[in-house]
Amino acid sequence: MTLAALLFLGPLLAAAGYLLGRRTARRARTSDVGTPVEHATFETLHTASLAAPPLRAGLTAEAARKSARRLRSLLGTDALCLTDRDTVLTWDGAGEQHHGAQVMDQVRVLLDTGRDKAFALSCDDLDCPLRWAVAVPLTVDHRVLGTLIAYAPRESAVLARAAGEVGRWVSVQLELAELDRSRTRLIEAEIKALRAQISPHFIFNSLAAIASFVRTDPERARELLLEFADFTRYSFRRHGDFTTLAEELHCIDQYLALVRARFGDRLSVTLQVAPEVLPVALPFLCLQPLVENAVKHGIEGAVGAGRITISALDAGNEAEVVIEDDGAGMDPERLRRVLRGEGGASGGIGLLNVDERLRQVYGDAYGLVIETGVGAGMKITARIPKYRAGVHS
Amino acid sequence: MSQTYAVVAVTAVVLATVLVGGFGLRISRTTSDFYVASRTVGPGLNAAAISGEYLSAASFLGIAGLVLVQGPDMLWYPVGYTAGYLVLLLFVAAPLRRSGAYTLPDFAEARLESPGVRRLVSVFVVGAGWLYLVPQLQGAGLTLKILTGAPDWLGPVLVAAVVVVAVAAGGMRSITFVQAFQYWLKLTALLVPVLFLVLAWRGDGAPRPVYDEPAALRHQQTVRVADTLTLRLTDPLSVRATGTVDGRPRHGEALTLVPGEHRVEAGTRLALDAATRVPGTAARTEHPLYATYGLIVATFLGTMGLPHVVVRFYTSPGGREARRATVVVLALIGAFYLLPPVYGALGRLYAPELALTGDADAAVLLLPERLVGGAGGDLLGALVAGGAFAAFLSTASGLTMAVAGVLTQDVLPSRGIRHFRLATPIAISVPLLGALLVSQVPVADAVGMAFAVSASSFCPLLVLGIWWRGLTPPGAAAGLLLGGGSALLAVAATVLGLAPPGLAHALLAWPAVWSVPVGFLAMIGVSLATPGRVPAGTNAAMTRFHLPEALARAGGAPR
Amino acid sequence: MSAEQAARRERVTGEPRRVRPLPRHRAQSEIDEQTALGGAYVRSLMRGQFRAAVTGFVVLALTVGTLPLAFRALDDDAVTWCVLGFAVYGPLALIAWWYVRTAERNERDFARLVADRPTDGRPTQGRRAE
Repeated sequence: MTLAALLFLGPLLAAAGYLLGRRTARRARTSDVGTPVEHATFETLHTASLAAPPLRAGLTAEAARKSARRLRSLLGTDALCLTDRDTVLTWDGAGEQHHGAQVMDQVRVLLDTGRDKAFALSCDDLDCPLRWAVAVPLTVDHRVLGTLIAYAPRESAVLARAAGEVGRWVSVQLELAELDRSRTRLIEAEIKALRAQISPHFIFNSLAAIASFVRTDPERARELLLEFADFTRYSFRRHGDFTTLAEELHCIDQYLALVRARFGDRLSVTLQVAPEVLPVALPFLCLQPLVENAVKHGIEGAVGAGRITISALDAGNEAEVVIEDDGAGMDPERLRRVLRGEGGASGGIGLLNVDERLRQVYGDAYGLVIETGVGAGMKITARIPKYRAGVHS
Repeated sequence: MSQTYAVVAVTAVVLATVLVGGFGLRISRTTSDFYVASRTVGPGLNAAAISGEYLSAASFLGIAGLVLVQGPDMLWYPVGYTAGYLVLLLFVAAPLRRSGAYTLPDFAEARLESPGVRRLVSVFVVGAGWLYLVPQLQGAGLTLKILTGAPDWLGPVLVAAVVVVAVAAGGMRSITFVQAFQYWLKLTALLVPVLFLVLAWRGDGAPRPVYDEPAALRHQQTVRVADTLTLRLTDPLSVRATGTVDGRPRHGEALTLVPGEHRVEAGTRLALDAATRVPGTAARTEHPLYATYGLIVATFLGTMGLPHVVVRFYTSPGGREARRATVVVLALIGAFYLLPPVYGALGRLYAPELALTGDADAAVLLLPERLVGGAGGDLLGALVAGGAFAAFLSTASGLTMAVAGVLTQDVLPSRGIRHFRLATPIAISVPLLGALLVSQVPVADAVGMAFAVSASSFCPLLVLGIWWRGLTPPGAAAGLLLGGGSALLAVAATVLGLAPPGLAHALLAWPAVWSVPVGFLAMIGVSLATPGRVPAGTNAAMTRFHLPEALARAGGAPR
Repeated sequence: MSAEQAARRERVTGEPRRVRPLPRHRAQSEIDEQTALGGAYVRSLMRGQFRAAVTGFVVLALTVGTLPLAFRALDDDAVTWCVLGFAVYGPLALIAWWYVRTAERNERDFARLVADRPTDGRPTQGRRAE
């Protein structure tokens, strides 16, 4: 769809630039600082770039109001109106009081057919400059979301053409907005999917380990069962996308208790936690997969006992969480492929998912930093800002 | 005073700060102890940390100095510093914690959803922080000069260097423990000597402090003027001078200085007879009542906006704990502030000549030697010196961290820990330059100015942001610029000596009385004029600020 | 972890994805939808807390705030020394203690009020909060 945007944008801007540039083109043919045509093109590009951001929020009254002024100066008309399927969203320029009321009647046909429409205007006010208008549909996926209407003092084929192009350009922007929204929905769906993604193996292994204690150490079995219940309750939690570092670490502790029930002394874990960072809000279940990864590597690669160090330290505006194991490590090239999403299903899905979610929530600067090599263990560093708008536990 | 003891004490405090801050009292345990590690900072520990960071050079040295020079009216400083926490508790503590904001710019963004206001708040945070840092560094310079005769610049440079090194070594990893420790160190450093001082005072026949102004000498005293100074006398003063006074050489002859200005060159010795009444060099403004109210408004309302205070509330697990911690802070700093007035009162008895030379801030440091004397006096003096350095270091590092945080996030281009470490030298070098270049303003006065700026900008922002749904980004910006901006200009004019004498000087030196209402009115007025700009998330933000965490997390309750 | 192990490691990060942070207004509008329902309740809590805060502030202003005028009227430095150097801290702590008690009681009352709601947990605006 980005390609489509470029395909539309290119000819449109060239055409509009040409139209604007022609007025002043006679003064100078060539110039080191740009011909009038070039200047007009720049101006057009600039105006278009200013009109685009509000439209990326979708066809709302706010977006329409903010972009209408830019769109009108792009077309050079006396008045410009944007509607959705039901009402006039905004009117920029003259004549709203004479013509604003009839707009929806005039464009009704267009909302169904999706075809451009021109119509003459009758007005009792002799000074009113609006005598003719062209309306074009704003479409996303072949659905008409609204219309753009450009008003002029007289009939104009140039305006009709230009309005058509601008209408298509706005449609592209709206499609991009739709794309943004579906991407957001996709990520939200992924977040929700991950929650349910406790591996069946883990459940089976944990229950088997607990079962082995039922006869020999019933008290321990009971405790482990409670840990298991707590851990699953947290993991299947329904509300909120975010949690606190304290809760996430608590969940990790329960997870480790269950893991130790299975592996016993083969795993030793050291924790360093600065109490200052415990209230930090962060995406739900974004550290536990990293620990799970470390446990897997730590035990697989170790001849004797595997060692895992988990630390959460205060670093000014951020918390720095480091999870390190001394296990098998990973081929850096393979890890790069995993983080590109090309690793296939064989392991690392957790890493990829956490990396993506951290980047999604905090921006690209906050992706995971992983130091590893074959047989060299693995050190994963995650930085979590203490405050980010919209992130509340 | 014995330099050795003092140098050892200061070195010990500096080393302890660097080591504890750099390598950190890390909690390092096995999983079986995990619950201990995951336990958040309780109200008691957090309150000690807040107090430790808050009790600055102004509290440790400045109050006693001001009381010595200008009498009991200056006791409004500690009262104001304490009452500021009460106002913070009433209007701000719990909602601020619940907002999830780590810094004031975070709060502005959480409430107003405006990057513009966020940037504006950042500028004021950096400005107020720097204004507050200057007197910390100057206080360090004075302390080191008194203790060892080191040049003026050494103290500020030393404190700045220690802060940069400690932050670079690990960002003060367990700063809560360090700061809590510093509180108890400071309290001990004032409390133990005061017991001996009071004993010595009783041994001296317990002379009642002279309540009248100005303070009077009890013994004959010779003052050596280290730096050329201008005496502004309101009453005639009889001295015997050796050196240069008013441009003429003097050789120990008796001399009566008439009211007015007198220039005393460096190296001059002034001998004062017993019972001479010592006038202050910086006569208080002619409008003492106005100045007192200016101080009250600034300190009562300014505490809530100090950058290093706000940052510390983040460590509380929730709003309720933040509130309780604030009450404990109130008790801890209230207890601490019972001590400086004692030093001030004893200083008026035993070291009133300090008022002449403008080194009154040194009273706390000099009294143990004066009253107790001997090795005991030296040891107590070393303890006080160590406490004073703890005061400079804890407040300076807290402020520097807060300012560096804001610089990293809102001013410098890219983000990351590396940048945070880069921002630290920037955050402290500007006030360091200020401390070295700007002429000496009494420590507590300079801190008062930072409070005035904070009270006129952040207090309206916080109070209206937390309690009034109608606040808009343009309104907040207008209030910050008009209230905070005017206070900043007034303070700058005073520091640079541009303020004309008389009422105008009082108005500029104590701007809070008028600039706080200006800030509030501008915020309310412009917000009312721009009702369309009320942020979309206002209701959500208000709910988050005021709803107890238990209800918010339970999910079923109204969120 | 051994230094030798760390030395053999290579640093790996994911490629920049030019992701844009989740649009903020979405998350907030979701919260808004929830708060619209409980708005009346939250406003009543805010009113209660604000009343407590203002009461504390007025007491502070009327007692401590009027002291400079009292000192001027008395013109006795000994009183100033005693009040400002010592006596004033007690009342400050007392106001603080009273406020925390009141604020916490307000919150408990509020929690009870909300807990009374039907199990779907979405209070309607129909019921008065006070």
